[in-house]
Amino acid sequence: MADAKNVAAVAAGKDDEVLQWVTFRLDNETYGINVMQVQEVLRYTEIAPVPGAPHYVLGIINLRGNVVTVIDTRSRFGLMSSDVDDSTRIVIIEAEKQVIGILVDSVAEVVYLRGSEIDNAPNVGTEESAKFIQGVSNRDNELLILVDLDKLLSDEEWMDLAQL
Amino acid sequence: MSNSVDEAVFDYFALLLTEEDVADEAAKNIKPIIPHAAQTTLAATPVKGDKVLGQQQVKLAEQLQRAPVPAASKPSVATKSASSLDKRALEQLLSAVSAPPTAQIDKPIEAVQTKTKVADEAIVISKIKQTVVEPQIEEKIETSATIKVEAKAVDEQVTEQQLETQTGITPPGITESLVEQLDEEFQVLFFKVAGLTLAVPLVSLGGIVKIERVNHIMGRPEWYLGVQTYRESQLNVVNSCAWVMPEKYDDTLAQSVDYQYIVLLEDSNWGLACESLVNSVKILKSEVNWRTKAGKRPWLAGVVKEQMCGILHVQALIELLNLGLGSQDSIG
Repeated sequence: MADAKNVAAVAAGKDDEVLQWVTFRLDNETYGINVMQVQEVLRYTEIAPVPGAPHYVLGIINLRGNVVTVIDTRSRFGLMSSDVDDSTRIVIIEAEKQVIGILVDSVAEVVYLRGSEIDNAPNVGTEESAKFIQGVSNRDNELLILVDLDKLLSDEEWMDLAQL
Repeated sequence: MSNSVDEAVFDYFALLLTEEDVADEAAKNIKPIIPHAAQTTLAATPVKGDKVLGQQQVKLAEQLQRAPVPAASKPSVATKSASSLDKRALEQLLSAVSAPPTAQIDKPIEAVQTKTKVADEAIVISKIKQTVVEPQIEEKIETSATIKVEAKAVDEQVTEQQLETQTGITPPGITESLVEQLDEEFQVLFFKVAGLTLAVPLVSLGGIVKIERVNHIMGRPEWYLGVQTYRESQLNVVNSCAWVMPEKYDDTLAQSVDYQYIVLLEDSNWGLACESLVNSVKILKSEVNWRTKAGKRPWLAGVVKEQMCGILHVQALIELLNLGLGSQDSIG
C-alpha cells in the first residue's frame, strides 16, 4: 500500500517536473520556447535572401561556416513586420532534426515553470498558427505563451526547408 | 455616436424584429384555417337547444383536430400563438366578459341552462387551441342568443387561460431552461458595446472585471480579443462588437470601440468586453419577448421590451464560445 502511494507520488512529481523556457518578445507579447531546443542566441546579422524561398523564410546566415535558414517569426505568428533594432535577436534552435534561426524582437530571460503552472491555450483558433501554442502560463501577472517549435512549421514545410 | 454605429444598432434590432415578425406571420397563417372550419360548421348547424349544441361542439372539436395545422397541435406553439395575440384581441375578449349581458335578458332561463352544459365542452375547445377563439366569438354572436351564452362560457375559459399565459410567460424551446431558472421578477445588468445595449440576467453574471492587460494570442478569430489574467487564471476576452456584429465590424468601428470592462459569463472563463455599464434593474419575465425558436442566434434569449435591447442566453453563449463559433452559428 505504501509502495503504491510512493509510486503515485513519484508519478505526480514526474508530471509536475520543472522545465526551463527561454522567453522572447514579439509585438508586446512574451513567448517561451523549451530551453533544450535552443542552441544559442545571436545579435542580428545580415540575412541573405534566398530566391524562390517560401514566404516564411527570411533568408540564410553563415554561422561559423554552417548555413542556417532564418524564419520570419512575425509573419508566422500573423504579426506585422517591424524594423530591426538593437534588441533584435536571432535565436538558433533545433526542431524536427533541423537547425534553424528565428528572428525575434528581443530575448528576455530563462524561466522555470512547473507542469502544473501551464494552462491549455483557448481552443478557438482554426488558423495554422493556432496549432503551435503549447500552452500559456501566468507569471508575475504576465502571460507567457509557450510555443511548440516542432509545430512552428508543417511536416511539408519542414521538408521544404531541408531541401532549401 | 457615429452614424455607422447607429446604423449598426438599428440594423441589429431590425433583424431581431424581422425574425419575430416571421414567427408572428407563421402564427397568423395558422389562425384563419381553424376559425374557417368552425365558422362553416356553425353556419350549417341549426341551433335547437343543448343537444344540438353538444353535437356542434363535438363536430367543431373534430374539425379542429382534423384541421391541417400540425404546428398548432403542439402546446408550445399554442402558447406562442396565444402570446402573439395583440392587446386589441384581448380587450375584445375582456369586453365580451365584462359587458352587461343584454342578449341574455331575452331568454334568461334557457341561457343559464345552456351555460352550465356548454361550460364543460368549452374547456375542450379552449384546450385545443386558444387562437381559435377570437374569430369564433364574432361568428357566434351573430347566430343567436343561446350561442352568445356559449360564446361567453368559452370566453371566460379562454380569457382566464390567456391571462395566465401572459402573466406566467411560459416560453417554449430554447429559453425554457433559462426562464425556469429566473424568478418572476429578476435583475438584469445593461451594458453597452459600440452603442448597442445588451442585457445579462444577474444570475448568469460571473462578475465584472476592469480591462487591464489583454494578451493577444495568435491564430485566434477576430472576435477573440485575447487573454487577461484574473485571479491567477486566464480569462478569454471576447471582442463583443466583432462577435455580435461581424458584418458591421470594420477598421473604423474597431478603432472607435474603447473597451473598459469585461462582463464574466457565469463561472466560465469567458468574458464579454464592453465599453460601459449602464445600470442594473429589476424586470418582470413578462417584460421580455422571449425567443421561441432556436433560429440563428441561440445566444439571444429575447428582447427586453422597454429598453429594446437583447437579453443574453448565457449558457448558449458559453457553449458557442467554447466551440469557437460566431454569433450567427447554431449549436449542433
